[in-house]
Amino acid sequence: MQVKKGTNTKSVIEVKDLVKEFRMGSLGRTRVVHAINGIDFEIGEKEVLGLVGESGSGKTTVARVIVRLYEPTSGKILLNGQETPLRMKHKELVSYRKHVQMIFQDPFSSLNPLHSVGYGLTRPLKIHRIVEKDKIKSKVLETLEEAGLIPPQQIYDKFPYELSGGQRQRVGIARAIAVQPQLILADEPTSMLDVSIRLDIMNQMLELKEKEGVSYLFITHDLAGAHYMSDRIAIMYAGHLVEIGPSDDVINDPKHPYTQLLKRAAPKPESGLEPEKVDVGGEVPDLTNLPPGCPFEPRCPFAKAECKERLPEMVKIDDGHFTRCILYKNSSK
Amino acid sequence: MSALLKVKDLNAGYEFTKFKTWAVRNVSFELSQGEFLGIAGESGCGKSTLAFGVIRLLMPPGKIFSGSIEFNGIDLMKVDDESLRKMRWKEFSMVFQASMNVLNPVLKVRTQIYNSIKYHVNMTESELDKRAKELLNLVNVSSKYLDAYPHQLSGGMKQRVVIAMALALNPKLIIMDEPTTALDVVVQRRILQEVDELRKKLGFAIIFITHDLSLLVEISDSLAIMYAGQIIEKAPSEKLYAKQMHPYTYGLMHSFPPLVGKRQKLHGIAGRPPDLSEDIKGCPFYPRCEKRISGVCDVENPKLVEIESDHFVACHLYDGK
Amino acid sequence: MNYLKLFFKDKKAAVGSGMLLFFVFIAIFAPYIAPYSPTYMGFTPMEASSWKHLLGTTANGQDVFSQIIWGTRISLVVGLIVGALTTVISVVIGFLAGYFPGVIDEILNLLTNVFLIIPGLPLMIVLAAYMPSRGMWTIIFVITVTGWAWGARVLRPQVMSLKSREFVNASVVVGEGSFHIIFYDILPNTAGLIAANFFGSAIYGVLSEAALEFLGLGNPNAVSWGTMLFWAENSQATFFGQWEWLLIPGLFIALLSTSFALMNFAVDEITNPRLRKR
Repeated sequence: MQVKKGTNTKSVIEVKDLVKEFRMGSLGRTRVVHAINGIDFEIGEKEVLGLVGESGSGKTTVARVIVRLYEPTSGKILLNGQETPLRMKHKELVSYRKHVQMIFQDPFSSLNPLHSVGYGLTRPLKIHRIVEKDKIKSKVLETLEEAGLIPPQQIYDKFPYELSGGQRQRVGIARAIAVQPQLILADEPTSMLDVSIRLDIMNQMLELKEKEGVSYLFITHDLAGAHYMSDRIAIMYAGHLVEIGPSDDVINDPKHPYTQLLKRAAPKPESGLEPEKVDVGGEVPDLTNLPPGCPFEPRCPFAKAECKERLPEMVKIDDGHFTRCILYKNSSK
Repeated sequence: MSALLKVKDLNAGYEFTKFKTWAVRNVSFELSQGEFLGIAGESGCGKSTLAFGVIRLLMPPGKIFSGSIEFNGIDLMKVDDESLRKMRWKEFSMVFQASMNVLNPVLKVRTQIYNSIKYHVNMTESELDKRAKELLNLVNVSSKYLDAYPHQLSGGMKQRVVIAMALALNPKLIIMDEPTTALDVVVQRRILQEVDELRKKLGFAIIFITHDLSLLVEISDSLAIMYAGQIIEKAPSEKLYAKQMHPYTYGLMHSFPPLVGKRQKLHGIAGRPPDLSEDIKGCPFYPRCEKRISGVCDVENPKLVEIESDHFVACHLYDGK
Repeated sequence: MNYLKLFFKDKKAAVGSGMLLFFVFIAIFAPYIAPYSPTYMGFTPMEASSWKHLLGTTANGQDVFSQIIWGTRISLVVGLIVGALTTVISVVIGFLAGYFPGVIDEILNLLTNVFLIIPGLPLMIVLAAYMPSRGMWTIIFVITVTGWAWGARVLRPQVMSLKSREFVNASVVVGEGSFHIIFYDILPNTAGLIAANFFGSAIYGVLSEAALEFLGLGNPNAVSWGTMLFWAENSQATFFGQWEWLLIPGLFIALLSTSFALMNFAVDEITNPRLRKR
């Protein structure tokens, strides 16, 4: 089912029925990990879509498939309305990567310890021929400044071990925006940073969205962070998209029982000091052995018999707000 | 209530051939029986050094430079190694960071629980078995996992096993150093709930160290905020949540985007914490502080002083109050 | 980076490279340092050390001291060439196996394991015994063929591990091709391992060469520390009191190996910061 946004702007990326399976093991005993099980979403221009889920939800895999570190098993990925082949040759990949870039989670391991900041940023500019040779250094300095590293000349010659976590992550941001992409996949960009600098990094990303017109897929396990950053939020569980809608709607009035669980479990210092009891038991499902019905059924306080048998359809709650739960079957239009 | 733990002017750090890192600077605090004290701070603030130091677990190059640690009336700085060893795990125990990696992958859960007991107390095989089952029951892990290996357990279960091992000898104090950071938010909350229930039931005190202040505010009795090796504010949780006196605490508390409500632009704290291998003149937060008073704050390091009832702050803004 | 600076500052590396330079100096200037030709057999045999013959003479009337000086060349050259060749082979095989999974990896890994299992010295002896000519290059060939596998085995998992590191993923996402990733991203991060491999192989070369020659599989007419040991042993030097003839070549072999070992330790410490004394 096609999940459309409420507004009518052109979409930068559109994902339809995306599936990703990993085969593990050797001869005889292969197991299949169903990491992504058919998801659909779009991201428009200058839009931030937050993708929220816990470990094992598949959210990181989604990013890696879209940026083509992994090849999708099936489904469609459309860039600017044009379908992209599932398997791409090197030339196609290079051209794709001018439009789709990534910010990694770990500022410590995502920079080559033996490359200076300047060298690391020169590479993407050279590969994608963004500017002429003699203008490369000034473009690098410009990019560093846009990522908040001021003065850029000081950072240009430094090596990662000389920088703080926040600075390294800004270098990661600079690397992503250097080629002026349309979409940046940010894979938990602040979860390994100190709390007091997370906001500044997120603000920097939002500023770049306005200035450069870039869209983000913001991946996180932190619901509050997603709320801060995103225009829309999508919730993932066991490789499925269980709820998607405008940020305020999904947070203030979550429909899917899993979203409600996430909301109850999130730290809420501001809502008075009565700690909320979360008494939903169970663990995340085994991705090699998914049940045919709704993956959340074993833990769901509202589960019915038919939840075990069939995966619920995506149901429309409101303009742009959808959820995959039979509780709302009758409210679909 | 008499104090379980009294730490006075503790100084600790790491001594290398070429330099010294002064990670804990003149830290003093008290902990009552059964109290839940949260210590919050960011990376490099010295909180882990404090945790290890307080129960005398610092290994070289870590070292306690000076200060006194009084546990139940016994001065831990004056006690000999043998007595210290006897006290460990019986009087106080620890749950380490990334505890799931602390479990030995080639030993069964049963063996590891037994080891945590056998080393300190003599028990027969059947007594050990009974105790192990009791402990797993306390942390809501089925006793069928006694004969499993760590890799067969999920992250949350491994963490519970480690907590069970920390409870094995009914200690009076458990120190937990970022025990839930690597866990998902749902599992994290459940484990913390369980730990709190256990505390109410068995009466042990907890020192809980983390960088996630938002979570701590909900569950701890009192909170201490550490910055550059010092405790710069300490108060009961509700008081601290209602009113942050130190500019750093204020900044930290407002670094968390609220879950519900309108989205509005917030900002973090610019700059980075000072290098603890250097001497710091004046207040360590001076370079990043929006309310700094030059001539005062950069000259003298403020002392931790009780400004309101039970609310301690180390800041010149409150001089003379 | 400033690894080179760190290397020369380290005491072990300084001593090691100093020793190596000493041997290199002797090897280059042998004609000027050695008082006599090493092969001239006109002196009184089995003489004890004297001012005329600092280390005495051999059973054939050759000057031991001159032999030691000239012998440095072969031992040094064999050590360095074996070090270089085995390193190059192990880098090529280790990298190909580690970077390209699947069939290539399986085949190369199998090859590496086969060469690892075959016992080195017996294989060397067999090969040397059957080679048409005896001499330095035969020895180099034989040692290299039996010695590359360990380095490849060590490099392969390192390459595999680096390949999955985030900065390699980051390079892929930025659009880098395999060539650049292998040579600019991964290789520099294995430099320490490769350097350590080189020194280890050099030691292996020096010792194996001495062993083969001692067993008589070298060219007995060549003058090297190994052949000196061979002749000294066969002439029962110690029985006749000419202990320098047996001891000094052995000592020099040990010292040259030590110099490589010291530099090896220094490289290990630099590349693994946890080993550094702080």
